[in-house]
Amino acid sequence: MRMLPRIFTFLIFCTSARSEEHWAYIPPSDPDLSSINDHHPVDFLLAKAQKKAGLKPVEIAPPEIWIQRAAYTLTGLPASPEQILRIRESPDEATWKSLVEELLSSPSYGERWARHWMDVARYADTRGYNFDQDNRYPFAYTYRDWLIKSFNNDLPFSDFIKLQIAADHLTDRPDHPDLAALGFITVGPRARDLETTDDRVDVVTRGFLSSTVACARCHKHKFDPITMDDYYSLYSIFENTEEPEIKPVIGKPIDESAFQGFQDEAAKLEQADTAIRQEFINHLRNPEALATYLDLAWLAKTENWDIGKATIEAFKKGRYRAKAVLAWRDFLIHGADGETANPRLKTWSTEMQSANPADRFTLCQTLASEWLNPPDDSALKQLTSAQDCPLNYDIAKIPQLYDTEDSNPAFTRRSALARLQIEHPGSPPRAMALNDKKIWEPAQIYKRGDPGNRGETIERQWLGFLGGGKFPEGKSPRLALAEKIADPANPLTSRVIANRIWAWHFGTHLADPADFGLQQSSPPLLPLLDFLALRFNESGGSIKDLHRLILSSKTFRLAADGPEKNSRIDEANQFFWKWNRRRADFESMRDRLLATSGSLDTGKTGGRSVLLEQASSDRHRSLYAFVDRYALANTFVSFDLPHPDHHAPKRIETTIPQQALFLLNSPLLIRQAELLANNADFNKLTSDQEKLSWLYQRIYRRPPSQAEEQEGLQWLSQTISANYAPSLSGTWEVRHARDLNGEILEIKPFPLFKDNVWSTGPDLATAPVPWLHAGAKNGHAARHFAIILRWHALGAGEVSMVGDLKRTQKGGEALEWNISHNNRSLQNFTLPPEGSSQIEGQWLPVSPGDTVDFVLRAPHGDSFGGVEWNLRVLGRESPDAKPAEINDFAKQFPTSDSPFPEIKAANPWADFIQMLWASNEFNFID
Amino acid sequence: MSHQFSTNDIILDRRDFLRRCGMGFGGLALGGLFSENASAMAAPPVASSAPHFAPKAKRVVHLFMNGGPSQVDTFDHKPLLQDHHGKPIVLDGLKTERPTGTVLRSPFTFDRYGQSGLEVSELFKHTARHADDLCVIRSMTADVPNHEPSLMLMNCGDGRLSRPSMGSWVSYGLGSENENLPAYVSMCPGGMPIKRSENWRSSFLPGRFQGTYLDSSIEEVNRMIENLQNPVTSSSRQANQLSLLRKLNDRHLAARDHDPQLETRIRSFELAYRMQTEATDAFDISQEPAAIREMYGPGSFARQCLMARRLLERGVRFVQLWHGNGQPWDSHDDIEDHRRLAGECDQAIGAFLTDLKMRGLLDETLVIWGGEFGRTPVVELPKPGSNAGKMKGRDHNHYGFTTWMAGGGVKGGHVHGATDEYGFKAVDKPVHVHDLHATILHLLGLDHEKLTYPYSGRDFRLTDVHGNVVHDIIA
Repeated sequence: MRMLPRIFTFLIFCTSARSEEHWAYIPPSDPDLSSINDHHPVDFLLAKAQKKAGLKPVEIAPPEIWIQRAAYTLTGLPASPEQILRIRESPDEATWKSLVEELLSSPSYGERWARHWMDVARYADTRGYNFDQDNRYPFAYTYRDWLIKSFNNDLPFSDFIKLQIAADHLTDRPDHPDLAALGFITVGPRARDLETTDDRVDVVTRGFLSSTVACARCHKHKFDPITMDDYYSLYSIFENTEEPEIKPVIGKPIDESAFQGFQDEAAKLEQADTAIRQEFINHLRNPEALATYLDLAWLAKTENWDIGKATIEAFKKGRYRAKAVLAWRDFLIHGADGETANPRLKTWSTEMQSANPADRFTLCQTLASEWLNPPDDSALKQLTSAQDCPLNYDIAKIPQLYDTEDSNPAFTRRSALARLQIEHPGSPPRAMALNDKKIWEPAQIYKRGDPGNRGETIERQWLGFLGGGKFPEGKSPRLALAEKIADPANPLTSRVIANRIWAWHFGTHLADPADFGLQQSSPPLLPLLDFLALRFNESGGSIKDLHRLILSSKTFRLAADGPEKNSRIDEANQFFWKWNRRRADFESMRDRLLATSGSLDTGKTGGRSVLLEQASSDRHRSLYAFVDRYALANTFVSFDLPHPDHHAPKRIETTIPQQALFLLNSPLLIRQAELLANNADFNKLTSDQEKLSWLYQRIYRRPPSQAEEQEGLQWLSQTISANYAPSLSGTWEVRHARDLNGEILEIKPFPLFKDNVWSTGPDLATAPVPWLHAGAKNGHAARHFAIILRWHALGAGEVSMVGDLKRTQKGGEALEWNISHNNRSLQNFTLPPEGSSQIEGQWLPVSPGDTVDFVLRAPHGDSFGGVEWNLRVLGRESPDAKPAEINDFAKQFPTSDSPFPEIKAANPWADFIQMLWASNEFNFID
Repeated sequence: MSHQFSTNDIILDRRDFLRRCGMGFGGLALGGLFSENASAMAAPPVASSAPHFAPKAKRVVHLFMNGGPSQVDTFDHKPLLQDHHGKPIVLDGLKTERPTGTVLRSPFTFDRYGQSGLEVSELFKHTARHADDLCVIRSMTADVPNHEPSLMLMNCGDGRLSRPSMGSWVSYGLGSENENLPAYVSMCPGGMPIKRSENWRSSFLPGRFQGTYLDSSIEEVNRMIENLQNPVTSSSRQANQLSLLRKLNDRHLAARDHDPQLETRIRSFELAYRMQTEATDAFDISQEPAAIREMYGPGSFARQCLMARRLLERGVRFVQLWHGNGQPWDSHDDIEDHRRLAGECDQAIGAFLTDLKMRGLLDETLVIWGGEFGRTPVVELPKPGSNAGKMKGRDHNHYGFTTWMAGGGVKGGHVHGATDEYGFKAVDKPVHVHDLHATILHLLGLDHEKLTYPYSGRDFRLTDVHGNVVHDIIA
């Protein structure tokens, strides 16, 4: 079955591969709606195609399903119980329409659709590999927030395009919030400039036009009428941009009162940087250094050094920079020789030729001192203003001469500023802006894509296959490019976005979003795609209007199942004869989970990115996740987030066990299930029946059926309470007690903790019980006083205390030790002078509250010195289970006498809740 | 306590779905890759889950000596360096990353091993015991003398662009033999190599083909794979949870028409449950007899070699073992450092080969040893800010270096190609990294020109438009 469409496709491809006839390159045309009657045009156009294919109409889904679907596709959150009730009670068009409006006006709508666009825009919060420097983009989030706002305000699509490509030409203030739109260009991966520029050409052309223009980088496009002129016209546009070092502030910081603090910190960093740059400038202007550079540069010029040679020779002279040597050499090439030479330098250069090395340096010294303090009549005076003279390098330009030793600290300072901008609450939001270079470099073709092999200069032009033509004079070509893309006459733009929007509702596209080129034959539902594209243009590019059009159709409200015969004809549902049942995407799965647990805060939109694995992020929607393209989180990889190194035309949907492991074991699920099980309203309910019903309402947004109720209650009644007892763990206490010939009396805490040891007084020698003390790794007993290192069980199972003991002092009396179980001492052992013992305690059954003690005694006298210990507890749930270390005294050494935590029994309801979230019903949008 | 899932009692034949929906930890295969959301537009990539022709090797272990081990101190003996020590040589345009000076002799002695008489330095005397199994390519070449692009080239076939790694291509082409384990595992003790996860990325291939990274210095198995173990819920409780989930899902399923997506997801939970035990088991080297552990020796590299063997036995397709985080083999300052580095891995590599042979696994397992490039036979000169001022180290060298392979259908005791008399540049039968990739795929039964993936308007492959299979080294 599945081969058929492909063969079909191939045949069509063979017959119509001419670009002037290619469906995507000619303007959309209005389909024939003459017999539409009162049908919805989307339904009408699909019905026509379905009928032709022999597909039977399927039923409309129940109304509560409509609203749940709409809530999913428009907001990514569950529908509210109230919304479900409204549509169930009055499943009419008016109610449906008003509910759709309600969803469209919810701020959550913009969040949902911003995340869709972030796939297109290969959004990430890091730049990729950046040696060992901080690789974060401090302000990527301002682009994400701009997207949220634009979707919520239903920004006309032409503005949406133009601002993302050329906001700098369309805004009238340097602090205009729309500058953030340029993040579309700048949040991509960074490598060498070549690749960064290529990435920008790619994201613009695939993102807005579904055209693979970047294929024409090394040769003309293999299939499509895309030339290298097309590619390098666009390449040149982005090559001639630069990003300001100080990004424009476009709003107020989260904490305005902290702004001054931020400014001060930033100023400190900047001052430190300026001071270092100034020091370098002073170095270049130091007479001795100048003489050395002149001497080296003259040799470099004469012997035609490369950077390697310059590095070695400069190194021999001391702390001199190879790049400064070469900068001087380049200056001398035209400054001391040839027609443009300065007469004074020419004289010097001639003298240098005949001088021996020692005299050469003297000549350089003379020249240097004259240059730095030129008499009025000196020919050197005018040189001071020459741009490429290293003496004129200023604060901004001096880093060009840095070597590794200079650069490393400079990178560190830059990282420190980035960190400050990211983390300081007073750091204001800034736009990842971009502007044109002041002087445009000409556009050139790189033959075979090789920048070292430049071809002829070309005129920057609009894409040939879409009409071509030189970009107009007197306007930034980047703005002109944006306008060409946004032009309603562009046959691709509106089809491309209509195709995406369709798929973000229905799960599959009308045409392959990856490529609208000649390899793609005319899609079977082209009339529908054209219809949507034309209506979209007529509405002035209103995305919300397109939603209204799509959601008002019956097609959006169809059942997810239908006649068997339909499946045989069109298994893949390419004619949309039924609803495409599909698994909620990762972001929506997590958001819906957090919304039903009660953690999610939907009160405000926007803000800095958060680390999703932190519990504090549970109140944020998933689109606020910090996305590190250099080390993409496993959760994202497992749940099909496209890698942000590239524009993603669509998500590949997979079902793999790592997703199941996330739902079974991740801290998020455990945390949230516990939280919901502790919900106050839930716990007010008295019967299990009511509780179960409450959870079904809360998570599935419906009451349980009678059978489900019975099944659930039965499951609960069969849970074994032992399974919910606290798991085996423990906590430590440090105690001492009177020791009357082996009888341990009055176990009590030490009164003092000081210098990381427990004792009975500040000075061990004069303390109430002299020398008696216990630290993490060693301690000292006393005659008639035992040290007790007590392990206190917080769960049930079996434990064994193990470890090592070693005497630290030579000679003295023997010591004794034992393990006690609930104050009953087991076998006694002797620790002789200079001896050591291995503790291998027997397995002891414990329940919460039980104690296992290590008891160290000194019954034979006062002279014995300290003991080093290391004490661990092994545990197992049952005799046949594998033991594991559960506690280590040194690692968990108690430093205060606070009562140990109360460990509550686990709640079977939390397990129940977790499985509702893990279930297919919660995860599939029916 | 163990809870048993039976796949037999599920209403429909799951095996069928499994085949169609591409399941498993690392993805069984690509056959049904797009069937989850099949449509006329999403033409599935044309390739089969079976190899293109009979494979010599079924799985790969890549011992990655990151940082760039020196060929002239390990497997490419150049007696001339001794004689010319301290003398200049004409570099003839062989530019490296940093300034270099005169010839630097190798401080290590070489011996001949095995019937083949293969020359190996004292650094790898354990490995050398397998001389007659080694196929040493002494004429490797790469493109540039810098770590980052060379790592990318060696792993992903392109120095600059974001492309899928070799392991991802192999898992895409062949899938995993064990659905409970990832198809592609990359281990590095104590952190990651430079370029981090980019070294095992899937790039534009689906994310499931990305390498699963493990820090092999972590001894608690539970902490090695994310979400593999529940930190709170006991296994008996979890089994009980899953019985509830089954009831919820079966009821949901019964109310709907046959839908493979629902079935697939139900099955994914059962797989996940089994995986918790099986994966935990696979990484738990404490189950190995003491004699085996002693044979591998101490240290992280030994641990990960032993884990690799356990993974291979269980059907993992591609295992990459990194020497350590950062770039340990980058001996710019003092080549003597190679002694410590080889000391950390040689015994384990020797034991690993012995162990594979003992179990009859070596024939079907392709073992690859090497770095992203080699090192210069001339000394590196000091430079501000980057060198400790010693003059006993070697700079990067992509003009000629050594990679060896063993098992998996390569000739044993064989030397392919040669560098010049100093060991600087490959002069006889040069093998570019693209050729190495083509050969590795060939040994696995994959035609490097046919293993393609459609992306951004054209079909991509590991070797791009390059690569020739080196037939001379194939047994």
